[in-house]
Amino acid sequence: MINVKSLVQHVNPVPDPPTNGMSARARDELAELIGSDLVEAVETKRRGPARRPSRRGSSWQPSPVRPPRWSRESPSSP
Amino acid sequence: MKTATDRERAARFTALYVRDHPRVSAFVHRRVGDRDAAEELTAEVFRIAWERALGGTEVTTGWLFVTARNLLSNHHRATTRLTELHRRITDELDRAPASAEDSVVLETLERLPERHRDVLLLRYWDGLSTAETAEVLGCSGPAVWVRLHRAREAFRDGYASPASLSSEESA
Repeated sequence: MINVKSLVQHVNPVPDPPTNGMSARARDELAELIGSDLVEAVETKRRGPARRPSRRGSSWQPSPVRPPRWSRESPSSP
Repeated sequence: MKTATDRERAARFTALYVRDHPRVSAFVHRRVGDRDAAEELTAEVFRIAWERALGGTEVTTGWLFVTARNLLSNHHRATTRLTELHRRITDELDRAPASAEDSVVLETLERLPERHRDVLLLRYWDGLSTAETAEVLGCSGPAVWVRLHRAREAFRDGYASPASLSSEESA
């Protein structure tokens, strides 16, 4: 049985419209329509509030791996 | 001074624009074979959509494709063959040209009656949902499934024996 869907999809000349945001031209056209201040406000809202920087900052270093407790305890002789 | 209503309308329109602009642009590009022309026409679709939104009427994805289709039929009355469109787009996007097998598929699509070709391309090239396809074709959702079933049958017949489509066309 011929898989029509697969055959037709295979010859799609523009198979992957970009989904990773708007092109600069598309953004300009949107700004022209609704106003750049509104585009800015909407995009800020979509992105959400700015995230607080990590308290550790860029100088964060992993904590040294502590050895298991049993190895830290000195063997006690009965 | 922008009111809260202006901002809400702009937010809704922006969401629609971000989601559907690439889809509408690709839809038009597939049919005009030229990216610049596609971007111009897509801009026109969204300009009309924004006017509609300003008038307080809801703009849906299906409506965008219907409008794009109407503009295409106004601007591009001369039908270009699918094989020629495919060659122009692959040249423009620097993609591999159609293989011999691809050409057979394109020619089969080309020879199908328009009612069959339309539904196959809307579903399998443009990725429209049943509801969106129904809006574009001006029919119900169940009718889309019936049309799609018949179009697949016609494609299979034409693919297996090209003469069957020629006889249907001349009938």
